[in-house]
Amino acid sequence: MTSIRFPRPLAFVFSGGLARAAGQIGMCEVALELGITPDLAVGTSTGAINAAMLAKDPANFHIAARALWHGVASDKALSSTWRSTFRGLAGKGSNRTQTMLRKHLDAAFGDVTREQLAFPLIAVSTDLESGHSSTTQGDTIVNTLLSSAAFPIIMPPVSVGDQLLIDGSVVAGVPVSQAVAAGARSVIVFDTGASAVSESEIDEIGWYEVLALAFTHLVRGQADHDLLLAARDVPVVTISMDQGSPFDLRTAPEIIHHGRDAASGVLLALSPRHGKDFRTVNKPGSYGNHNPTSDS
Amino acid sequence: MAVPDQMHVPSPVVTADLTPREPMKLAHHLPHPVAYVMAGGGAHGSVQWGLLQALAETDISPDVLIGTSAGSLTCSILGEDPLSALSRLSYVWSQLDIEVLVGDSWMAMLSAARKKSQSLAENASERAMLEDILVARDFSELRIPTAAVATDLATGKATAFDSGPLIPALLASSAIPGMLPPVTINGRRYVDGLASANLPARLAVERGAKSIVVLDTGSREPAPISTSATKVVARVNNILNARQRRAQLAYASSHVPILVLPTPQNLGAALDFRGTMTAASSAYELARQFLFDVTAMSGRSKFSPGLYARPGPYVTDPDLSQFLVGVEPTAAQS
Repeated sequence: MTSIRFPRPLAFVFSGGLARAAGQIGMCEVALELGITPDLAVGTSTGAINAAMLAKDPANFHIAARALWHGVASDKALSSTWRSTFRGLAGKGSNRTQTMLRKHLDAAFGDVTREQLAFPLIAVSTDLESGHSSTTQGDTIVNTLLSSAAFPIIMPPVSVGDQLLIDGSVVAGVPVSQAVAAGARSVIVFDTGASAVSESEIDEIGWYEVLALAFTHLVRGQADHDLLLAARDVPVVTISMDQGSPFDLRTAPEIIHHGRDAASGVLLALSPRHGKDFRTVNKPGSYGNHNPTSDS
Repeated sequence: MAVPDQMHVPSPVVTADLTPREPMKLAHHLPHPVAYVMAGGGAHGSVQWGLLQALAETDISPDVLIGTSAGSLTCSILGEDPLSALSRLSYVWSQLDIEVLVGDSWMAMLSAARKKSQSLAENASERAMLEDILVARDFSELRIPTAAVATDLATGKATAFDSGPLIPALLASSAIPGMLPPVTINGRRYVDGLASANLPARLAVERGAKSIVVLDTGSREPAPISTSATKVVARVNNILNARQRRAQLAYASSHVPILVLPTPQNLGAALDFRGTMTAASSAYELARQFLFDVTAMSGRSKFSPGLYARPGPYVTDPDLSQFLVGVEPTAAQS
């Protein structure tokens, strides 16, 4: 029984999740528990991996996605951004990070083809040449996810057809315009890409984190721009959380809970009132707990 | 020796004689307040000196100035004394180099990198340079209202400083993340405005500008397509910069008329100060011709909201082309 209804097709949009991508598991499972199901899943970077897990088997998503992120977070080769960065800058070894991630994705997706997915999947990458987003559909799911998550320095670009692709976060931190372009008439955004931290959190950070934080702010500003533009055309419900380090994968279990809390808050506020059976969210605009109005 | 009966002499390139007898008349097209919006760009900031020389040959005078990073310095110099600004900028750009900005001790940088300090370099020499160039110490001492844009390091919000101490705001606006230290103002830490609004056109509109002249800083050749980590990073930098600029211009040009002065697109690295003079001079030539062409195309009325720019890659994005009022190069004048 669904009490909140959306104009169809409804897209679930998974932001470039940084290391908080596990929070999207909590958010998404709350939506599923409320009987809200998508017609397509769109994701960027680590969010694309979650979108693919959902499209592969919605009924088993809550277990399979937890297992995947648990595996990734306990893999030393992947959980230390410091180590990966130095390997990448040294011009060698970033291939190794990608090989490790490929191993986890192969285990999760095996030979699953796009035709076997429960609904269409769009994984967004950045085309290094044109500087535009790419939603290449031609390649295997694992290759598409690897290109969507090929964060500069940490992993090398992935070549798909005649394109050289890197992490989609560079141009589509929140791939909401790609969802609208694919025909979505409503969107729920699972957003773990918030870049704001508290003033006290930056007391102890070093020059490298200052640089990384500035980079995520820059990407975030553009994602907010995209959220505003999409909300002119369709209803955009954004479930946003900012708990957990953007750079440290090892905190997954608490992060999932924060994601659940955020989703419950947002979706409860959209629930029908005054004894009505359901509510339809059909007016274009921004809904949810993130108001994308800040500059740039 | 036989003379060929027909000489194939290429016709000479006729360039317009633009020698100003009186200023190019443009000001009456621009609703007040007129804002000069100046982008950041490190060593490419010298481009703005060339653009200001071209603007000085028109009758436009700005009511407000807003700039990011290198642009915030140009704004402050112009805001302090518009009459002497051009000669002071020539002094700045002939003096400025990487050592003034970040010091010359690579040993100090290495040790900073190891100690996990918040930046690889200190800003003492940049502070000394600013205190040398500017007489004003507070925004209230500037003749034209001026704002310097920095990024709140914790929240990522673009913040425009337009009152209080001037030097800390300029240091914050140009605090390249990781390279120069974040600057604490009123208990919050700020870094370079490039992380939120490198071309602060949207802030200019939000602060009440009714028309805008954009002084960008030009760009370098796009980084080659390569799988090498450093080339990918350079490329990502191109992509992010272009995207942020498009978003800013799309927002602003749907509200007010914007003149986008053309800038050189073949510059060196953003922290390579060797080409600053050449860049400024080619910016001057480009902008002067552009302003001449805008004067030639315009009627008598005020400009309506839109992007008055040279058609080209800078404005080909669908987000922008809907606002574009193309300023075509005019045929050679006699």
